[in-house]
Amino acid sequence: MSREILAGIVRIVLIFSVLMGIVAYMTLMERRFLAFFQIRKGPNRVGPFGLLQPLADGIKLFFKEDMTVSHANRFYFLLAPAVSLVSVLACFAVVPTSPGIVVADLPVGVLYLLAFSSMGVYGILLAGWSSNNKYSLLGGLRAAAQMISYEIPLALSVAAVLVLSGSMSLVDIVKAQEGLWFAVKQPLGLLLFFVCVSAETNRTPFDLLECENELVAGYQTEYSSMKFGLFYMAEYAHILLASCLVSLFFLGGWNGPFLPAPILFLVKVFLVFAAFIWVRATFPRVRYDQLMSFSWKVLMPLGFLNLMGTALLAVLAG
Amino acid sequence: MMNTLLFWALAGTAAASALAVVVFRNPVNGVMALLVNLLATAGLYLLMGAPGIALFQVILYVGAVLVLFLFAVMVLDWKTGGPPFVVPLKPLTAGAAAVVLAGGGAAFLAGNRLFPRTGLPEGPPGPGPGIREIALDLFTRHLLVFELASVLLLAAAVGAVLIVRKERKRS
Repeated sequence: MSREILAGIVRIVLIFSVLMGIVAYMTLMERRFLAFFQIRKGPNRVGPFGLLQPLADGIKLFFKEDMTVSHANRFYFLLAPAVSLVSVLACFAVVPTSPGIVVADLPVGVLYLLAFSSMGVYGILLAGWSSNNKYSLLGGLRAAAQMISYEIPLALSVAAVLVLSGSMSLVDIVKAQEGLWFAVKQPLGLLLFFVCVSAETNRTPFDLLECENELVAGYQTEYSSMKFGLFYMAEYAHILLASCLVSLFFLGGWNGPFLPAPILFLVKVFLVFAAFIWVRATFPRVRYDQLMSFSWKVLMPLGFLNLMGTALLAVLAG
Repeated sequence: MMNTLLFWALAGTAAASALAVVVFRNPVNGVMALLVNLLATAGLYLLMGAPGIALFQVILYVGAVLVLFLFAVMVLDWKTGGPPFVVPLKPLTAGAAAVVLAGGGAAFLAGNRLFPRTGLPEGPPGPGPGIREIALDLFTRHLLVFELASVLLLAAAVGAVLIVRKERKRS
């Protein structure tokens, strides 16, 4: 029993450290890619090709003054970044990277993912409210409305995947795609999932909650030093989670030719993340009313149509 | 043993946080106490071997309903200052009386023993009824109730849209 627990802890620590390493380098990748799209150089001074830049950023954040504004609600002000990061990291417990490499393969893995990723909004709401600042509060409120609205079409597109795979375990979902990736059977589902997940992770074109020209920095306006760093890590961990989920649900996970499973999976995650950056570099930010009506009037009906069509085809095909 | 300890920890947290919901003066604290309560209850479901129910509780109540509560409470303009707790004596006495009565009834039903040893299975919680069983049950035996509930929800949604529309016309 204690051996089992020890093995579990070792696995958690290993996966966690690899994860945080990837998250750190995702920031560098995003900056270099954005620079490439905008025909400039990006950070290239610290180390060869700027490879030590994330380390320098981390050290800088650690040595910044750690401030708590005087009228803030201290308890929630400290709690908020932790809630943000923990809710994302907890999700990775059920994300498999290849057969056998997973912390816990739950039979209700998809529900677990939905449950924990929906907790993330508390971090942002509490940060916005406890900062006692108008910009922060507005950012927090926008985040809550946006994340709740986009969770519905997100769940609908995942439900269509569940209809096809007949299981809620992520390992089984990947196994169900051994012949044909769900991206082929679910092109609309993939599109819906990609759009909703960009909104859930608050990426441009949906980053209204930290829209600089209206809200300074939204919910994180009053945060500094490592507290800001935690929000930043949570954001990138969330994008990594989103990239993993797109690969697992639609791109066949580790199924594919030539390469060994974990590497193939990493390549897919990398490509999906590159697509996220591409979208960020291409589209301008949408207006707030456009954002809301897009979710309720376009994405939700499409999600229902997709789910009903998938269910119908699944029944007809046996 | 482990399960019994977990049960009492979760049950204690649930009861304490339920009390905190009533006693806190700051409504944000109240909502957060309700959050703790819902999570503790989800933990109890998990202990009873119903992970599906526990996760649905977190998705629906914590992920959606309570976010709206917090949303509404945060835009309220309540008075600050004063003591952090208020103790509403009358409702609390009534609540205590209800707990005593219900507990007495339960103890009587369980064969006049104050803490009946039922329920909690030994060892780690098993898989229990899976999502497939729950879905089959919902769509066969309880289909009528299920559909009636969805009609009720649809009516509520239409009603909400109607209320919003009227207000917009007046202003």
